[in-house]
Amino acid sequence: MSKAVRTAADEIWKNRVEKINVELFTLTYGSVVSQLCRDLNNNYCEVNKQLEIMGENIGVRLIEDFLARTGAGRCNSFKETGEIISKVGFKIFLNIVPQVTNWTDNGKQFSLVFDENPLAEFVELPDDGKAVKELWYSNVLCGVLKGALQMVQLDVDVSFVSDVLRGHDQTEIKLRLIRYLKDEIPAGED
Amino acid sequence: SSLTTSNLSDNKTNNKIRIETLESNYINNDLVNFKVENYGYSIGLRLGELLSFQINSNSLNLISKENNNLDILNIMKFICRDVWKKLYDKQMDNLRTNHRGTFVLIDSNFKDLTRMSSSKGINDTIIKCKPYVWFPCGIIRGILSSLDIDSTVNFEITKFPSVTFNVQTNISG
Repeated sequence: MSKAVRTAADEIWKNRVEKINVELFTLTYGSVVSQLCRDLNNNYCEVNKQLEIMGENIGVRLIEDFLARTGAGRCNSFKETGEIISKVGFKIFLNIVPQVTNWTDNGKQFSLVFDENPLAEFVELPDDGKAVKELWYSNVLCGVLKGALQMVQLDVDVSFVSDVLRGHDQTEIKLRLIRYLKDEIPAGED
Repeated sequence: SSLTTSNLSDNKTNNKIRIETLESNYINNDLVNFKVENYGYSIGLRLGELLSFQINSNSLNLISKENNNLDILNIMKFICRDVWKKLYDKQMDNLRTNHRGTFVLIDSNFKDLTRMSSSKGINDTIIKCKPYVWFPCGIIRGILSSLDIDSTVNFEITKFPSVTFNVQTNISG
């Protein structure tokens, strides 16, 4: 199954996705983050929060685009969700395939490990001693994942564990399934 | 601010997705325009450096052979061809100058705008797409700034989605 998914994702990336110049993308994200830092007086915890909110707003819309392009159906398990996020989601939107790893025994938590991160190309964190401890530069990704998964009835806690920008060995995002959301019926339609 | 439903219709025949324009109190707010322009500026500044590395400098001729000064016309051509190609996958369609430091760059089908549309009609579309156009204005100003040229850049949209960029520099050429 995994191989078929990969080929399909490759095909979508090649033929069905409009591309944007990577430098423009990277620099645009960079100027968004730096403007946020200025606006919030280098309160990096608040910057993380804002980036996550921006990401959520992207994610809840992006999932529609994802479903339309891929025609993907419902995943049978959270394990499968992890594979699809990495091999299809990241592939068709960012052309990267992060490793899916560190599964817990109950199958409710895993990590995405990024060998490359197009958001963080050319980036150095501010040299104020604070940013390396507090700022999760690519935190928008957590928001995107959270927002997108929420729209397919998965309440997931998403957060950075480590980031090479901070001097860690690898860039890792942790996803923990909190619960499956029930399909909500709009009020007054019972 | 609120976003009305996006991706309204997906016309399968030509695969063009129209994006409903944003309804927001921040449309045509000076502070927002200023910030958007600034995003563009900081990108232009860095992109200018990056591109001068990437593109073979022999073919660039940014410096005039006669007097060893920056050749402003070639710089404008560089923006119209190389920069625009890099960013929008197409070149500017027209470049005019009065040879006294004013340049008019026309993109007759500006990529960022082609898919925007407002249900209230074309005039409303033009009003609402304007904040987005400060972004490329900032990029142009940033690129010029990376080559040590001060400029002011503004724009007009008369025939959507064609955009006319007016670049005023203090260098005549």
